[in-house]
Amino acid sequence: MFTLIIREIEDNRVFFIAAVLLAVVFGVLFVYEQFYGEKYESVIIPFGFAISIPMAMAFCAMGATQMYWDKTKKISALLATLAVNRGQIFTARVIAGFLLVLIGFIPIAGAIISAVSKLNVSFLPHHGLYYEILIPSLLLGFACYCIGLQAGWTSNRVTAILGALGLNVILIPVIIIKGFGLEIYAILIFLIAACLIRAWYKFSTAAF
Amino acid sequence: MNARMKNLINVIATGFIVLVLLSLVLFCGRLFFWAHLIGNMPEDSLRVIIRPSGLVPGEPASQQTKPQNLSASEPPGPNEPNFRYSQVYVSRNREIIIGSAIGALWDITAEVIPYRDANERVYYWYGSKSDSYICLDKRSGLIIRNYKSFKPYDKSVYRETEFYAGPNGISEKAEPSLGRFYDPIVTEGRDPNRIGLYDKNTRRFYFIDFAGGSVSKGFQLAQGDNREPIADYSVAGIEKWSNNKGLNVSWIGPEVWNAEKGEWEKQWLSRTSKGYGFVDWWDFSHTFIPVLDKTGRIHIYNTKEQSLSPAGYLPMPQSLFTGERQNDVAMPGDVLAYEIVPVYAIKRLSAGSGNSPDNFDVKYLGMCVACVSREGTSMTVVVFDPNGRRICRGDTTSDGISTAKTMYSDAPLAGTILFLFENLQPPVFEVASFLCGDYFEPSPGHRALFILPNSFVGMLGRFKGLQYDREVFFPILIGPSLILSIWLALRVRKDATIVGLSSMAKKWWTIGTIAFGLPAYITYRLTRPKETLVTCQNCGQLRRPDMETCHRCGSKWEMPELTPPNWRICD
Repeated sequence: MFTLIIREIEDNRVFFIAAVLLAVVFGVLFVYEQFYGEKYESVIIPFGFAISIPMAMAFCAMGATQMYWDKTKKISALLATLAVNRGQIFTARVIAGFLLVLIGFIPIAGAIISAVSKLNVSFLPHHGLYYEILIPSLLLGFACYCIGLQAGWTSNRVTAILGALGLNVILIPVIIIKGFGLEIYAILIFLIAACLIRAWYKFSTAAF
Repeated sequence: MNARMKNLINVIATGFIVLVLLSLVLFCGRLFFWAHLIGNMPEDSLRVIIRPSGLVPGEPASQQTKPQNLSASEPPGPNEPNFRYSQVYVSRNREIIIGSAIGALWDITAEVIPYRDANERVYYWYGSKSDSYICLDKRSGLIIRNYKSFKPYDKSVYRETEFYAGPNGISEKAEPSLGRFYDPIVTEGRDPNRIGLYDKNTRRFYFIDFAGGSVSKGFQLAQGDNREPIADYSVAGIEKWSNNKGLNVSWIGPEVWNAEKGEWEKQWLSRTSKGYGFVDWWDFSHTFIPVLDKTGRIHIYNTKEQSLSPAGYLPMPQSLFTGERQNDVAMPGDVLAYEIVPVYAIKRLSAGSGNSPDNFDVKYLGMCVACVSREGTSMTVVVFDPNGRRICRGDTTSDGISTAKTMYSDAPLAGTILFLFENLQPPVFEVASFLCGDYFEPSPGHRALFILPNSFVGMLGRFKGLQYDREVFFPILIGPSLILSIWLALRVRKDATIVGLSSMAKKWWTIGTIAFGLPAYITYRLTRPKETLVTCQNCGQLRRPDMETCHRCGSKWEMPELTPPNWRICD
């Protein structure tokens, strides 16, 4: 399984290298601002929020890329001839996707934490608000990846790109519309589950 | 898991994805046209002015006046040369009403209070400068007042103290002898050292004075009393008592013309001993405290006489399907926003700066209560006298017709497109909106994706008028959605026959498409069998290559040889 995950990361190294670079830059900036920064000035907040939508697009693109290459290059068909089954390949793929979401979420998390603490948008020890905003945002990032899995399952590159882009544009506003209550958790968790089930169904019943 | 079950799970998963994504698209469409309708409303229809308010003794009968280009700080010209009457000025902010459909904005700006943390504490107040707070510790049932002192020129805490208050007193330690509050309603206070609360369990009012170190027990509701307070006006006095979301109510007292200064002077003499002054919302003496009941009734709690008497109610604003229901009481969950502004005449009896009730003579004059309809399309304000009788009611109107109706008639195209967008929702959700739209909170209703309590059909569902009207309007409102669903169901059925679904599958897809409309149709298109059909040698129609028999005529792949009949045609 570990080898499969490594292979997935290597296959999509462009995404991972970009995400790690951004995470390192924002991590250093975040630490600097926390200890030496001005109280009401921040670089992380505007840049973090500015890259949040491109980052969601990147998560989606990762999912779409994984499925698109699998569909066109028959990667899983080749791997299935070795001592691995389709379930392991799919699990490794999703784990790699989740890893990318976690790494790519670091700049966004930094921006959210900075915004909540510096701008004093809410009341009292802000721990609750951190979680209320961070967890749905992370779930949304993973949902974008899962939507990418749907859009990428085609042998037409244009359909894959436009599909991923369109579905992402539709999905991202959900957090703006529903806010940070329980409903957003329910919607995103069910959506992620539905996307993974559908992707697995397509992946496991595909004829090669 | 067999293939049929796998396929069913795939269909459900696909259906959910389609439903969520389609609902988001439809939401954006509805929001755009709803914002257009709200934005199209004239400025005058966002305000209500009642002048004279009728709350000041000696003024003539109150009446609603036409709003002109006024603001709360610039009252209209004098009614008489040297005097102008008191007035109630109510306005709402259309941007904030539209913003109620943006959940993230709403959640962040709402400053969610009370906030709960992992330690089972409910926070009511937080002083950002002093980093101090007031909270309820749910485990002990005690109210905690936290104080922090800081070293000068240093952020580090010098000293931190906590006081614990229970029904029986205040202590620096959480002692069992303090008793416990079970389910208290606490309102944030201007003075965090003085808190008023109502304990739902013991049904008693309390007043906690952290500065004085005392807890005084107040009025207790009897066992048979069916009143259930849900909010009380903090004894300490709060900024505004409301669930204010884009609603501003102000009572402007009578003013006299000061010829020497050349300006209007307000008759606010509350801080002096010269005479009675008029004050809205803040009773310095804490003698009269408004209490809101869960039924929408408002009572005045007299702390001196320890009595709770009727003072008014939340008025029901007009909606598209209702007329002016003068005496209807709205429950707090029926309206998008409400605000209650009590009015007092206060006279200081003795010199000094203390705000003890004994230092004041207070007369309760009545109150102004304003509500915004749950759809955000209309607003109502009612003025009550000290005995809780309605003096005057004002509604937002445009040319004498309620804004709840003119909003749609002023922009018919936007209203029609909004209606059509609503009808792209599945019929089953339309029916649910009709039946249970009332069970949704007004604000989340604006952000609803599936069941739409603020849709046309949802508004009709809340209409408690004649049954006849509901029967007439319901099929009209749900008609387009139903027609679309039936048409899509027929298309699905036709296609299912072509691709060779079983009769059971066809039946379920037809029922599903009638119930869920467009999302079901899209789901069908995404999950239908995609085999390339071939021509049946027996019947000549298209048949599935993956099935043993033709789903049209039932013949097998290998056709039997044609055997000549035993009969012959003879002359």
